Amino acid sequence: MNELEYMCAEVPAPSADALAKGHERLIAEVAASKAGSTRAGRGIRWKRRPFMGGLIVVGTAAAVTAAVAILPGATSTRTERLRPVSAVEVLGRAAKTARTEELHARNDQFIKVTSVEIADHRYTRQTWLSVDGSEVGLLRTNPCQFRSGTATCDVRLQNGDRPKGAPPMPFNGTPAYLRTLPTDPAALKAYIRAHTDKLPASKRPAEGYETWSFVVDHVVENYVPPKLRGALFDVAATVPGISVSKNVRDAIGRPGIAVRMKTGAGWQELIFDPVSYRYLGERGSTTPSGPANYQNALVKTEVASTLPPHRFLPERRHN
Amino acid sequence: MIDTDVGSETDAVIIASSVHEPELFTALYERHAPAIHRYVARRLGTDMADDLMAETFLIAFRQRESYDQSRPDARPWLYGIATNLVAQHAKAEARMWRTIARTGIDPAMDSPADRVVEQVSASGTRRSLAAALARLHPGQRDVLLLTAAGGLTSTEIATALGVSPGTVHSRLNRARKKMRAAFGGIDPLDVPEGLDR
Repeated sequence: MNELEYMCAEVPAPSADALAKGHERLIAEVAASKAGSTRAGRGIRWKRRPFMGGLIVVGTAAAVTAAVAILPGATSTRTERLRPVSAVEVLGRAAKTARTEELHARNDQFIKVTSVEIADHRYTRQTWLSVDGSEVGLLRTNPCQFRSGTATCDVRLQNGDRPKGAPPMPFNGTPAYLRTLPTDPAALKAYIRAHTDKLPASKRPAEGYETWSFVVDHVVENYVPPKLRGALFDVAATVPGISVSKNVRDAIGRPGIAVRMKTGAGWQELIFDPVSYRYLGERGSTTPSGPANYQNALVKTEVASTLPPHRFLPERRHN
Repeated sequence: MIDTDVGSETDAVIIASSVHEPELFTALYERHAPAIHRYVARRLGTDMADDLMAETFLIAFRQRESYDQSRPDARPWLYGIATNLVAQHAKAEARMWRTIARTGIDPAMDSPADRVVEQVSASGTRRSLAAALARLHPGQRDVLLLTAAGGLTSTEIATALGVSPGTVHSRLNRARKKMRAAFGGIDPLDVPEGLDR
């Protein structure tokens, strides 16, 4: 052997973790090819607007095509040393923290959520949602996301009317609706599964992807009651194919530790505070840990007694 | 899950079967992924190898229908795909070899976390070797590393790269000439007489 051959021969074998992840990606590709949706699944920019009810939900059903899933990742002593915290542990800690953070609001009040979204531009988004669902909600975006060239605008947020062709899963984040969801992780998982099953077979995603999407849709830019929020993170921890992404930053630059999942269109991360494991935000990219193409940071959740003075844009479907 | 026994089948048979039963393709992954990883890790470090190993098999899977069934051994095909992926990171590769030359730290040898804990510095010879590799034309590095890390023959390398065996030979010769020049006339790719370990 010459020196170069030695340099090659001494390269260690891949970690069990890397092999398992590569295997998962291949399995996902196999599954997608069987669903005949590989081409459709790729390239779709998954656009999500959680809890906009009939008003703003778009795109989700079309994007729920690529199947992702399957094998639980193998671990080895080597990777445990490499990665002190697993995705399951991060979500477990996040669930524990989530269960301690309660906002005490009366039925006649509103939950106000402030977040920063960076997609095509950077937007500050504020939502007011009636606790018991009896009042119309408000979404204020600055700059206006629905009419270019306008500084700030308000749109109505209300319950109900599922858009044509949307999945039967209620993408609807009003406090009143959230109260109807099971807070036991197993029951919540069964609930998600039950709703997923109603999709037509050609559009049915792999279980892991659908579960993950459900969690993301409910957590991002939203106040979820503590028990349910904990259950959502516990359920996310059961999704095959999740992994940890360290040293990430959210849309407003806060450092975090993320759990990521390969979705149809790329990678999606839920970011948590690296110390308290409080939920910070979401980050999307086309490659693992690549540059972000979508970011949303949860800045503040609070109780408000009334809606602020506002003027709604004329009613129409917003994207 | 695979319940068909593919243990003794040739790669070509597995690939052909996977056209209609896509799951069978995972047997090819199990068989060759570790070697592909080590090859890519040698050229780009462990971190990138994790991703590109997976990517190699995704691309292979998508191209499985066009696999040349007259080739029972799929290694040249897989190494070719991996080499194309490595080529997209030619700058990163040159940077890696320069890092080894400068610091003695070899990103192929360990994971990032391990690097902090135990770091074996590359020897002087290896650092000079790395410096010479950094200066090679990417096509010449391809043939050297497909030989040394991939263990492919010239014919297999020709298949992998889609060039003629003659091209492989001339690239190999030019690469060795450059390496010799870098080593003051001594060919570092030669095994010294009586010193074969």
